Amino acid sequence: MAFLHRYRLQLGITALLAMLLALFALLSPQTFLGGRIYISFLSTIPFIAILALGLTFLVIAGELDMSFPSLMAMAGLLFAEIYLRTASPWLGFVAALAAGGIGGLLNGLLVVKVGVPSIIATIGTQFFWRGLSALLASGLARNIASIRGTDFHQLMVGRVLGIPAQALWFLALAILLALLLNRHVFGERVLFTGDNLRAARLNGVDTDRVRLWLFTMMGLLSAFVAVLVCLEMGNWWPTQGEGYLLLVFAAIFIGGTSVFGGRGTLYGTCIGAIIIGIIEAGIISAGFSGFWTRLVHGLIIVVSVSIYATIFRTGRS
Amino acid sequence: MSGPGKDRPPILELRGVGKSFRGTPALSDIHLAVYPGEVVGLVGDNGAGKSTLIKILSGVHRPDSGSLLIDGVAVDSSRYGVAQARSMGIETLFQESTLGEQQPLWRNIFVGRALVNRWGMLRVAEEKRVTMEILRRYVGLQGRAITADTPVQTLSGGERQGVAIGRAMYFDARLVVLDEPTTALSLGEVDRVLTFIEQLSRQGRACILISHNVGHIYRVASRFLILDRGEMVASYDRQDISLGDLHGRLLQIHGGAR
Amino acid sequence: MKTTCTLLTLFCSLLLAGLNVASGEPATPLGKGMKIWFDTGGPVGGPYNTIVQNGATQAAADLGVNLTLLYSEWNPENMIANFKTALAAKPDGIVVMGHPGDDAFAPLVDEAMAGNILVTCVDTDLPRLRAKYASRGFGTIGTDPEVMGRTLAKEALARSGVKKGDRAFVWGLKRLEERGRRARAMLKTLEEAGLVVDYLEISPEVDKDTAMGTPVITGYLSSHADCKLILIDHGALTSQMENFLKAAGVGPDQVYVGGFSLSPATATAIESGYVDLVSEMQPYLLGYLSVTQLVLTKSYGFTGLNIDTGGGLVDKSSIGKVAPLAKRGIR
Repeated sequence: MAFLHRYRLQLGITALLAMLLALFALLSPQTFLGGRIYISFLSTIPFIAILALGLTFLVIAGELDMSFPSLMAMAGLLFAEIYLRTASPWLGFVAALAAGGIGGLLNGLLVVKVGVPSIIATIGTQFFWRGLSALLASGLARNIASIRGTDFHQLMVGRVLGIPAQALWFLALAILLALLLNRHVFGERVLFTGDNLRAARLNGVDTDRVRLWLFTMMGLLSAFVAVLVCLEMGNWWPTQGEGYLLLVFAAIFIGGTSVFGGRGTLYGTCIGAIIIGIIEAGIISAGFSGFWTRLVHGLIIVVSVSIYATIFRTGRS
Repeated sequence: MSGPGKDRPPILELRGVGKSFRGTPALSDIHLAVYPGEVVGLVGDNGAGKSTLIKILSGVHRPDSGSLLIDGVAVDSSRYGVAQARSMGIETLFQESTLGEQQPLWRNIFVGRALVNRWGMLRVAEEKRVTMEILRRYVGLQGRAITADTPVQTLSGGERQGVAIGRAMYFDARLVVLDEPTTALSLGEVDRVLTFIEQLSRQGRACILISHNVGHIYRVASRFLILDRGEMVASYDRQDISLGDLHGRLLQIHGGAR
Repeated sequence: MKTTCTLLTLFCSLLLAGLNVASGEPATPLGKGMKIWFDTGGPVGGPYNTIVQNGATQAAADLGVNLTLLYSEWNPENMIANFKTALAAKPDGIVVMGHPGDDAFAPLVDEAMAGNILVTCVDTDLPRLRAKYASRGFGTIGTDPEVMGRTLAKEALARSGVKKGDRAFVWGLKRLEERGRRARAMLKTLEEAGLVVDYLEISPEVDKDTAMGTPVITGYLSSHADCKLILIDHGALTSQMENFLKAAGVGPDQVYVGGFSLSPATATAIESGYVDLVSEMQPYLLGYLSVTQLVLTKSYGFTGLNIDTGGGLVDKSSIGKVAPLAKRGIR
């Protein structure tokens, strides 16, 4: 009973996902009782989910990052361009991670050292990185279809016993990050930083360093996802990442993480990402028009956050 | 009450400490020594520099000038932070909350000094066990269903103060700094806090108590220091001054400031 | 026919310009000293408007024109604001995208013409302004989305061999008023041919990050396994059809796929057989011809050109020639 109460949020969101899947299976059994659609989900949802994991950490610490879509574009461009020039995906990968890490650290420095609120700082850097990538790419997409034959491609987004490798990467990261948040001293510092910044400092938590690390981690994860997306699509394009912004935030808040910081669940975020990722396909397969997708997204977000606010009292206290 | 052991070096000593914020001096030339078993009462009006002084003692702020000695040994102030202060036995109960409201008790007890293995992973079972022990010994469960997993936000003001005190006791503090610990507490809870301070000094620990309530200070302190506009303006031993005279002196100093 | 004629005229005039050089006369570029402001319509680095821009930049370089580029994020209000900025700079000519429409542009174009600033439009026609100012150099280089949609649908019907009663799928952007006409025209053409047509609106997320379209196609195709024809009104999604179909377990040439705009990835998809037919508006021509025409109008008073660039269809047989150009941002 105590277990049920303690994990009521996680159980609730899991029930919502189960209900959605049951509903979709009922409406279009030929799609949702077969395996192929789930393989498709496993190939695309990890992108949303990995980004959402990183952002959940920042939200728990009381910060936001609006710049990750642009960092993705920048890191993805570096990856594609370096691959095209050197034929070495590894070199491109390292460069992409470096760019992501530096971009994230820059966000952190703006927030922590300069003192700009994170939503403002990262809106600024979002424009900056999008602009820089567009400038460097002269607005042209990069076709890297030739990467499909490489070992690197197989390792990152290949199929392992039919399962897309990116899903396995996601799983590994999710477990690692869940341990970091819930069982590592760093995670504790993150929780206290978001709960009460001053109290955390008085307890000797170096909140500046914690936040610098978190922004850097978000940058690294953005770059990692950017490389996965480039590999999966065999292509880099100038608007890469832009479509993820709202979906990633939606996944986090459907998952039950509090926007006021100090509390959050990576499990909820993962389930939130899955819910966000399956809705469109579910609606289309059931034969409804695509115009329904947004409506249902909106409905699920509003209903779930309302439930959190009223029943779980996640509001501002 | 056993007398202060002035034959040993002071647990903590400040020599000529000064601190200013953006050019505005908050403290200047502060000399202060606290001996084992001693309770020092620090009084002063708002803005006298009390909380700045406390933050220097606890390692939150670094002094601009002067030196800080622990057990008679000078401490490198650039390396003196909250964790160092705690590890040298200096515990501070700040006036503002130092608790993470949404976090469970066991995290609040150990935050900033978590028990970890060499990978930095928390030893959760052990932290929870110690937390339960602290709850039993210092907070008094009083039939309430409080466990190590209870989030702080469900606790009353007295219970929170109990958690903070219990934390200081458990970690074997040698000097406990209490900043306005009796504000917003019920009469019974105030008594518990003052009794706790008396216990500390009997155990040979030292204490610095800051309060607006001179009555509370007079009950437990063996020495009174008066801080005014960043300077230490007077010091009295308890036997040399009555509560009424101390009151009068305070009014005179702060009244004269206006 | 008209297109061919005008193109021929243009070609000849350029050739003559070239002959001038050959005959040893002083080689002053025709547009030397001319200032033209050019609204590319989209964002900096947008895939489509960058090709338009590449054409305009090349023409400016060829003709010695001093070109200033503007960007409007495909927002009609930005296009109007940019036009006002351009007016204030008093250039010799301004090239606009026609999206805001005749009513929005009329007072501004009147003001420009009164100040002897030439104006012409690309991409989307401004028919009333063109009628009014054609003699003073106002033309349209572009195509009618409706014609483009109809042409692609008709070609696809003919080449794929689908029959009445077969199922087809159209993925488009009806919510964009002007652009939506293309999807509507495709739907109309397919329905008139007696096909069962499913329409799906492209979500804003899939619009920007095409990777997220994978489950949509998988879900649709596994629920509608009898689908024989897919038409996609979106360049980036067309380029990702190979991924989508692979994920859905559909092999090359199993479903007939048509789309718009060439990009390097689309070229690859055509080569591998996942995309069968692509219609392109030849955006490079929009930039190149509009700038060229303004120079000709300024120099010799030629009237505005009305050129339809929408005729380009690319398939497996022609992709070999076109693919390298796509890589360079020309096709």
